[in-house]
Amino acid sequence: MSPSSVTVYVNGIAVTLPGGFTVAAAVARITGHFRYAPGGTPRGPFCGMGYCGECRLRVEGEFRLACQTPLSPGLRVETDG
Amino acid sequence: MVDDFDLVIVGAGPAGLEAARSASESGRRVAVIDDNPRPGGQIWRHDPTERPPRPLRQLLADLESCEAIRFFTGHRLVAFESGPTLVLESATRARRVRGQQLLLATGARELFLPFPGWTLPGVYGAGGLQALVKGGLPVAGRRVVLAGSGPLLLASAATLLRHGAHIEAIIEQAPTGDIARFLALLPRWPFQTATALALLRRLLRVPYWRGFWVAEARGREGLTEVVVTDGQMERTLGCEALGTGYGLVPNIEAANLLGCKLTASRHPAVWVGRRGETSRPGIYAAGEITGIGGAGRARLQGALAGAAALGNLRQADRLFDRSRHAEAYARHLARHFQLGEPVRRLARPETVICRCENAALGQIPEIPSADSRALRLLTRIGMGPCQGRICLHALAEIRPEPFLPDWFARPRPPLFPARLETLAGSDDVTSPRSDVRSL
Repeated sequence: MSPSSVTVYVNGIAVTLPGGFTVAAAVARITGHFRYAPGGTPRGPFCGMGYCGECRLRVEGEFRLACQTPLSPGLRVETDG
Repeated sequence: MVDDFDLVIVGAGPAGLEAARSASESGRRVAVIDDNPRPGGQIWRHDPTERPPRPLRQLLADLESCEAIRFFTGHRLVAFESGPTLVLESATRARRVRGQQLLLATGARELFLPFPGWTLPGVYGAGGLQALVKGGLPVAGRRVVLAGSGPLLLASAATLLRHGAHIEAIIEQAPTGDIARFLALLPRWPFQTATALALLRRLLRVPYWRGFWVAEARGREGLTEVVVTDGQMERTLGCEALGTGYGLVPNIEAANLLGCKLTASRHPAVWVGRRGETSRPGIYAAGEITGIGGAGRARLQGALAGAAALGNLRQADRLFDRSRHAEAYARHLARHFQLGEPVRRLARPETVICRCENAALGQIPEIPSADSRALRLLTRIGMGPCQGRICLHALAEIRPEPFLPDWFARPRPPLFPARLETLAGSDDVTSPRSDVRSL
């Protein structure tokens, strides 16, 4: 049942984790700041289930929810700021 | 292009999957839609490096052998068109599906009561943190506090312990007397009793404070400590993560958009009759969307509504008698984890209520008997990516009286932020579109 490892790039830094883990898991190993709210305060994942939108960031250039996006090999993820 | 089915089920949790199994016995074409990458919903969410929970394994094994069932996981319902046709969006494309019958099993989410510091990175939902950890968020060796109300705090703590977290304390706002009365009558429901005992056994070494709540979370760039109080004494607990949640509220948005009748309560549920039918013909609902009562009740309701939706009324009626006992558990749960007054008064004028738009309590005017639309237009609350899923429920607790009963009236599509191409009807949205912001 253990999926093979995949390597993704968070702000250019390589992170290797089991496939099936989420982008949120990979980003959390680099930074707790996923984005900045209006007013400039840092935010990280909150609801964990895809409805609050706090963990949204760019995956391959597109806005995605980190908590609902599974890792796939070579994925490039950029946090805000 | 629209894919046609006899039954479309929204939600692949306990209710949705039981409904699919129930419907599969008829051999008719069934679609199951879920925005998560894998079926199971919140309750059966699991670490992908581990085996799925047994009930999920059994359900999926039954469903896999059935060719008439099609799963659309990783697909989020964003809007309805006439029919109703469901407009779905995945990471790469849009789809449209239509069912002769529609069954909504969209589950529940956490109720959050804002307090100073709750937007700091490191503060999560209680179930939210559990879900994130199952998706690989690292907590090994970290100090964690779980705070709020309800059995989910215990379930989350058990998951976190297993992943190596150090649970500093579970902070339950309900007083000891309420918890004792909850446990005293719990044996009426053997399944729930077994679940509770298993949890408590795993949590023997974890402090469980009753009648306390987290009044403030502190830290500069991220959480470093929380202030815990019972209204008299205060204690500070150092921690790197806080999971907070004050129970669950039904995910009514899709049903509300379709005009299904809601119950008259502070956090409305979808009204259903004894065969799972909503007030709208051809639309059924099952599980937490009809009221918070746990996975056992959700499974029964799902099986019942799935049978009823495809005309197997005898099967539906047989399940109804069993579902009444599960219904009594829902009432038992609600009665003994009622929210006290203090936890509704934690937000200060400068405390953010709408996380999306960063709107603080002091910026939100008190307008008597408003539906939420007036406040949206004035303050932008509820107009960000979560579309009021968090702040409107928080406000219903903080300032309950003026807002009922129209607080959740007049929803508008889309249900979630969606790509313009999806709404415009293009099937393929993979083309480059650097000028379109999707969230």
